[in-house]
Amino acid sequence: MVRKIIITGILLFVIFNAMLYLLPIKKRFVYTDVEKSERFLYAGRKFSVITAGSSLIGNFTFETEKRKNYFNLSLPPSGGCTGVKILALTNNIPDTLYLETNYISRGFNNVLIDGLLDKRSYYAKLIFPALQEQNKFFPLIIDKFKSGNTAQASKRKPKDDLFLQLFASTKEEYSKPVNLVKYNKTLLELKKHLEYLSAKGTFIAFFEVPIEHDLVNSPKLVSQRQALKLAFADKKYNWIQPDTTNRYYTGDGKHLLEESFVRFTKYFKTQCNLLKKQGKK
Amino acid sequence: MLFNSLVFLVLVLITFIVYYIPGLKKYQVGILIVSSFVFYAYYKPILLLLFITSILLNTSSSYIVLKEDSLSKQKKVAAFAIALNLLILAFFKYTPLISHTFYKELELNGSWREFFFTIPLPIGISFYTFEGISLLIDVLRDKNSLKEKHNSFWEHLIKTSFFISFFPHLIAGPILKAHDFYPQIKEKYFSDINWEKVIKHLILGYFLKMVVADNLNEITVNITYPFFLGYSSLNLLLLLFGYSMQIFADFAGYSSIAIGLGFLFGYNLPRNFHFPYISQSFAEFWTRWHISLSTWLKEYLYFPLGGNRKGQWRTYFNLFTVMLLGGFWHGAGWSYALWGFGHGSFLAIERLIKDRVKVNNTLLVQILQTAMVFLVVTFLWLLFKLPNFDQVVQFFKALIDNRSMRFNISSKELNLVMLSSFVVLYHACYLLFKNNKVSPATNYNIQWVSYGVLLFLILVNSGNQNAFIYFQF
Repeated sequence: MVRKIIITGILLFVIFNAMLYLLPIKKRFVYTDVEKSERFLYAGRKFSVITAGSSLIGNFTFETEKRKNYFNLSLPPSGGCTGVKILALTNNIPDTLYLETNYISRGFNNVLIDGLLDKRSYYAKLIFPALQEQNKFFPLIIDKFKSGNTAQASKRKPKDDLFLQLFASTKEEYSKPVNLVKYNKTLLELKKHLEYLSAKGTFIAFFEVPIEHDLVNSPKLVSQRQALKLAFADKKYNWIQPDTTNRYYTGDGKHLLEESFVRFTKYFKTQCNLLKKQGKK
Repeated sequence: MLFNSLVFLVLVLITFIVYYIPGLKKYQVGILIVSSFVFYAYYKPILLLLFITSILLNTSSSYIVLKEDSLSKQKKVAAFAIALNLLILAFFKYTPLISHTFYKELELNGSWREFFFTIPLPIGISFYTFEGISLLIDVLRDKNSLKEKHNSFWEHLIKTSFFISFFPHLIAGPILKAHDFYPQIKEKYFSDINWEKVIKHLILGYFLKMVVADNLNEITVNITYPFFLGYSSLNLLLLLFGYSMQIFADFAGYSSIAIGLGFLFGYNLPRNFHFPYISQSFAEFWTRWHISLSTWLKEYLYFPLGGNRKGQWRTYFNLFTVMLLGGFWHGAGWSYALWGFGHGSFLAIERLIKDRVKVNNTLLVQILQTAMVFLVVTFLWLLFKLPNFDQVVQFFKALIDNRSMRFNISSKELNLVMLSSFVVLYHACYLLFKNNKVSPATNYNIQWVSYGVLLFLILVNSGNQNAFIYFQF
């Protein structure tokens, strides 16, 4: 009995791996930091345009995605720094990197990075793709049978009491300036990785995702912006100017609702084109 | 150390190899004690201090009871040691709760307040304290069974240390009873290992924990304030159902792994779960859920209180008291007490009704009873998920207010249903095969295929590593 159980388990595992190799089975949408970074790491090819950031740009898609050379490395809880470090440590050098600055202060998720780059685990997941988080069995099956784009931003504002609760907690989060000692340390390490990418020829542009109007000049964002501008004053770093003409709406104070998100995406692309026209890229 | 961590697997492997080396037979118990201490103290070695103190307290006091001839002296020593056990448990587990609740009345200020508010809860303290008490009571009740076998203090110390610390059950049970475990302490042989039992328990346990509970945890995390406010009533019910499945899978999974590991080292640990969600009454539920705790409470609390021998009203009172204390045992929070209060009340009311009304046991009645018990038990789990009582009230408010919201079926909901279906299937199979006789060949084939599939799912669908829910108790 024991032998039969083990053989059955292993046989099914081998069959599933073979299916992942042979058939184009892939989840349409990946959400978690591990899934996203694995998808990037095991894609087996180079991406020329990359956006790195937090959940604020989770739904972001670029026109160039159709040409399959764009990757949205938004890592919801970890934020942009972690994405940049993954790029630098894995020597995945894009032509262009757009870095969202809202949650740079979260620093680096080294647990995620160490787990991802651990050699034994990396090769095991490379040989047996079934071990990758993005190929988890049930979510993969569900993804195949569930239609519709589930990766869209919320269409409408949540119920008032929920919105007020969420907004209150966001307000509290943004009411205090960042811890500058910790933040500057993060920026120093970020600079090291960005310098590396820049030296290899990557065009780097920072951008801030608009949030609820009342919070745009909150102590957290103001202190964060000032330190960031100071640390990356060099001309090789480019900045996409924030949109001051439009008003944006969120579901919780920071995550844009669908309509606002679409408006921001348009604005963002126009600004990217402007940078190109200015001859910067 | 977590059962589902690599470091634990390494510890088990090393222990297993050393344990069965023929030349080291004499030291088998010692080897397991050392491994258990490493297991317990791996992340916080300081915890060993309290753990060893508890072992020494229970060893020395039970040894005195064993060797003492005067019954009154035996009782005094045992009572003193039990009180000390409870005092240690109360200090570490309940001081923060009491000081949080009554800090104004107690006039706690400054550093004292800070000290009482932040007393850490040593992992597994509720479990090993209960085992220590079990030892003292067993020795007092039937000391002859141990007296002959425990000649010296050293021998008693070794066996007691092993009884309390044996790593499979140390942190979250099953709670062992001295009279069940001591007779099993003897030399074990590799050839005696029942591999089928080991593998089946380990596969089922790891499947329930890593595939069902850990994945459900990523979904039921939405039952946190204020996020649940945004869900429709039906979605909230589905999430709560998922949590009910999760808590079963988490704890039953742990117990199954513990039993499997016990078999690996030649020890038979008691069954802790027996398909609890098919229970047709609350009394039955407590004979199927966390069996080692409920039998402990029955033997060492309910019976001494008089059980059902002192009249109907006293029986109701005893049931209620035992469950209320059981609630407090789970956690130092008023919502745990309320959870115990809820179970105690339902047990007492059920008994009251049973004593007065006779119901025909038709299939429909059985189904309705099972559904009702499941619903009540599931709603009471909310007190585990939301230990802040205000949030429980908000949850119920959202359940009523959000009726008009659309039932959202996203991948998350489908995943919850898929994962929960394994727990439902697990119970359904038991009901199905309980009475229908399946031929041994069919049974054999069903079993190896099923366990093979579970092994496959452990490899390809495990969730993020989470601590077991019962670790906090």
